Amino acid sequence: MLFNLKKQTTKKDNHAEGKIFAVQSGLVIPITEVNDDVFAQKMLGDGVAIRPESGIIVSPVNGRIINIADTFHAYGLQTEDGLEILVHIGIDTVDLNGKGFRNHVRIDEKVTVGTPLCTVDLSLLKQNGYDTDIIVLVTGPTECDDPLIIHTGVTAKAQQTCIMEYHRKK
Amino acid sequence: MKTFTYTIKDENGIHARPAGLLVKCAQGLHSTVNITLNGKTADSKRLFSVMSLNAKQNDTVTFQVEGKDELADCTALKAFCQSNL
Repeated sequence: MLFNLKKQTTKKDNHAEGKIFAVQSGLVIPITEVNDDVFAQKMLGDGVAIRPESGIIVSPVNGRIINIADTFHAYGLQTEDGLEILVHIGIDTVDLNGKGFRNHVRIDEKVTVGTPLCTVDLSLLKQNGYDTDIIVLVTGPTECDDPLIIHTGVTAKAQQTCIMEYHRKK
Repeated sequence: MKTFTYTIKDENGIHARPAGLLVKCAQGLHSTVNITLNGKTADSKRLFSVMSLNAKQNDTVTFQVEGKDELADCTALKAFCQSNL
């Protein structure tokens, strides 16, 4: 019993804990409820979606920009501890070819929680029949020791509400 | 090592969703699979590596497949490309 306790403590010491914050204010829903089978089946990774209240999309983590879609609807970020995160704005919005999206960052740029990534014209998306859910997912769930801790069902405040927590493999 | 080329038919190129599917397919293979386009090489088992290729419609990408199952893995990847890219 004592041995077990000690072992757990040691194990925990080897872990970094990380938090991922809301990219916009709005209701946080499980990724499985997103209107896109590939995302809903977690093919790209595990995470959540946010039903955005406004169009300023901010960085959910402290880290670096590692990918920007030419169409500015998807951003790849790497956290300071090496986790890779995808922020995907809307469903099928690649078809808009950049229309309605204004990019604010460049590749390799350092960002902190709250740094604006992109401004999206939500009413333009809605008028054209696009779902505006913003998907935030961790692309390499195998790089986390434990499953992600996901906080859904809450109405998040941009950059203030923690939407996911992780234990990073060291 | 085996190589093959594939010309992308999807009008949006390899954007997030197809890139994710390709990574999922590649992760299920024993072989090391690299994809090259215009002098850039991507690790097919990492999403942002594949997305960084910015592969567009009509681009021809080269798959380099290496491992003990490389022949079978090439067949699997070709089938994947035909139906998803």
